[in-house]
Amino acid sequence: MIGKEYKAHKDNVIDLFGRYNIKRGDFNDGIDIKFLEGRVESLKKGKFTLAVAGEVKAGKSTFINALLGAEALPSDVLQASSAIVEIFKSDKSLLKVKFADGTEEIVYDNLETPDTDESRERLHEICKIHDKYRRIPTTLIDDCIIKSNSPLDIDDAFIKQLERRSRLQLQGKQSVIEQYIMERTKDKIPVEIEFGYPLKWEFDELRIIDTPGVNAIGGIQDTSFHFFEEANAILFVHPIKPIESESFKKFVDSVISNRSKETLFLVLTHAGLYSNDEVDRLHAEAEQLYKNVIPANRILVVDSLLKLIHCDLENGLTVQEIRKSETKKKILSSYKEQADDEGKELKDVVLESSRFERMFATIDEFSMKAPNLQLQEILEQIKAGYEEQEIQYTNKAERLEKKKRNPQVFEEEISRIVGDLDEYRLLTKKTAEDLKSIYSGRHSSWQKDIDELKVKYPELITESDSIESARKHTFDAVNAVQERVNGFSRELTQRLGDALEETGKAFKEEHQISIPKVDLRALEDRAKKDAYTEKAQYETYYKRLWYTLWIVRQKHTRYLGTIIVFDDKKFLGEFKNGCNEEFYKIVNDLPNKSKEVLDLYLDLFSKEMDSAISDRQKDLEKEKKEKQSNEEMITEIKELGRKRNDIRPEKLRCVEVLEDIK
Amino acid sequence: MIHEKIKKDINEEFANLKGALQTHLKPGFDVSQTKHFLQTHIPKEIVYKSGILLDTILNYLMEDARGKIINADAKLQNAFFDADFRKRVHEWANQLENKLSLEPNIVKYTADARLKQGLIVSGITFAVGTGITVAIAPRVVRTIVAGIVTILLSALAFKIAYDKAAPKAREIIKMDIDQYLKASQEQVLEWLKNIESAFENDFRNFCVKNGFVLEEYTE
Repeated sequence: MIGKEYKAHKDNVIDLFGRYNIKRGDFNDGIDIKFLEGRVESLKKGKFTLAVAGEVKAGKSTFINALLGAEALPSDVLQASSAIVEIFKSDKSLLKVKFADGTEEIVYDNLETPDTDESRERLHEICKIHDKYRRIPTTLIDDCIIKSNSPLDIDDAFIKQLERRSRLQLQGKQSVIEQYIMERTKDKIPVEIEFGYPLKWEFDELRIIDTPGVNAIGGIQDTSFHFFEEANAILFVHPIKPIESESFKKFVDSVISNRSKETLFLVLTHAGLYSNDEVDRLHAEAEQLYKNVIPANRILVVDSLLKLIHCDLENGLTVQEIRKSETKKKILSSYKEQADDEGKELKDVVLESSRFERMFATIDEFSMKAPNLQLQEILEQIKAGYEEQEIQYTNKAERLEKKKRNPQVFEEEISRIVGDLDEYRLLTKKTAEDLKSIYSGRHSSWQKDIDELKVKYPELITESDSIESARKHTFDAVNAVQERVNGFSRELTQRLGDALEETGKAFKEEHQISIPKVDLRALEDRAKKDAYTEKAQYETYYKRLWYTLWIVRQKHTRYLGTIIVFDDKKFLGEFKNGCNEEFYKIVNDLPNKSKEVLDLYLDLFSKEMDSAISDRQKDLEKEKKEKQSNEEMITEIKELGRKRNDIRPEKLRCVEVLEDIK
Repeated sequence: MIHEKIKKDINEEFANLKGALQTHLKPGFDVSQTKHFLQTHIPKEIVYKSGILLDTILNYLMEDARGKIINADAKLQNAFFDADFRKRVHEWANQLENKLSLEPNIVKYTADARLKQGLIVSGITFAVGTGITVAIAPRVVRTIVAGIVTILLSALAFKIAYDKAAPKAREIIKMDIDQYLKASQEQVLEWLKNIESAFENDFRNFCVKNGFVLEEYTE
């Protein structure tokens, strides 16, 4: 299953942090323990999201069930909902539904009725669609109902708009559409569905997101768009035959953002229906066909039904019992024959032929990079804390040895160190000013980066030929800005760290002292949090009313990028100007915001550094004044040695886990 | 020296801005939408750029000041950093009387060539049509019909003339923008000159207060 290794590493990191926290106590080792504790807490609560996309009828629900290892989703009904379904592991089945009118419904599985799973049945009911509505774009119509504050006008223009967006022929179906709209009130349209199911997987934080089907031209609704933006991996499901998919190409080229593209996999399903040679041929064809769209190693081939049969066999079902399902029966016979011929267990043959294990390994390899990086950062902090503790214990033991041998030399040594620390204070101030100069003004590399963004994205937005394309470029632009913002503080920490290490090293060599440290990563986070607040971007637009001969304008507000209805040339022009205005607003605020981060960061740094230096000076003065007998000093030296020995195995374990993660 | 450097920076920044604006002024751009968008966008960009230039001049000034006290003792150098000149100058520049305020604060456009041409042509069509109606249509119903035709024809004439004048309108917009940029550049240069003087006064006062004699002032 996905995330198995990550889960093991994560448990190790949490355990190592717990032990470090106890051993460290109140000792000042330069690590901001509250910040680190916060990171570990969010690690515990973290989610790993896998979003599944694909056209309606592409076998999405069967694929998700195979992923889950349980037939949790009703795959025998066409998913009619425009809602996102979020599936997670829970002790017993539960369903939470939020409807378009704001009402909520929660259904639990009644344990007194073991043969019926009430929440699963309710989910089935919500997703079900009446046969007579199968040929109309129900999810698209739902979306129009949700967005409209008054009853929809079902005129020619509306039908044409549906046709254009769904690429379905809808002439003559006006009455069916009218009937559907009459029955479909907002209290019946689910917008958010959370489905908890007693799954067997170990990776508790995994969330599977089932998104509404993309349309024939790869278009998606805004809710799906935002989920894709946040997902750790996106799996686009498509049958292996016919291999060519216009919707997939369009989905990648002009619908999802560049960031989402980095997390995308193409999953070709129904491989079990064809011979291995045929599958290999089709796979190679797909690699060739999509070579400009997605890297070859992110195209995967699976068979969901075979994986489900494997789950059935694992759960102790007999072949006869499995054959009761018509769809499984069709595929089972040939694999049973193959298992008999090769003298293998049927279970092993179907698992191998499902190719799911290979898929899990590939997803793991690509998608676990970012979560593993988080683990690494935490471990690096713990390791740095232990290293600093070791240095301080060693230095103190050495000073005590000096004190024991010659108290006068010891006192002189303390006075010298206290004076040297003052000089170090000036050095850190110079470093901070150097950084301010590097990161501000028109010659800074940071400003040049912003200027590049300001040339690139307005051009792309202005030249967009559709609303979807303008939305994509606007999101790409905002993501690029966000990336620069994150990069800015990361780079700042790196530079400050490097500068301090360099000056500190030279200083240490010259003055023979250990210098205090501050947790730069924690400062970076604090400065960033104080300077940035996230808020949704809305914009105002005007719609002219035809019955006032287009004289009267009505004011509307919308979430940026959510417009689907008005797509004439004039509107596109206004939309693009709106996107550009929003982008300029965000990007032009960057120098101010970065200055805010820079000032806050460096102020915090100076304060923390001042306080660390003062604390060290006070401790040293205290050490100087403290009256100790020889025996007391010997005992303390021994105790320091014990502490040092005590942390060595912990540090070693950190190094081992770090190597394992890398 | 600093003055020359910042003057060069200002020239380059305004040239960059002019270049970036070409994205919105490509052949055949929508006259009304672009006019409306750029009217406030350009002043916003200039204010944005002046902020960047303020930091640029502060970098030059701080480097210069640090060079002047490099041989002073650690105590004075520490006091110099603690004084935070960057912050003080920013505060000074943000005060109402010292703040950069562009005059005018939106791009002023000359009359729209499309509207002018359209009105002239439709006016002529209307006058001619009215004349013909009066001359050749004595009966009431015919007069009304002829009158409606006159109005429709003049509306059509307006639309044709309006569209035809669009290229001229685009040229005028470009010229208006060029003029606005030129006038604003002068204002930004003046503003940064004042910043430079403010910094230097502040730094001189700091040295006097801390008993440090600047070399350039020793006679």
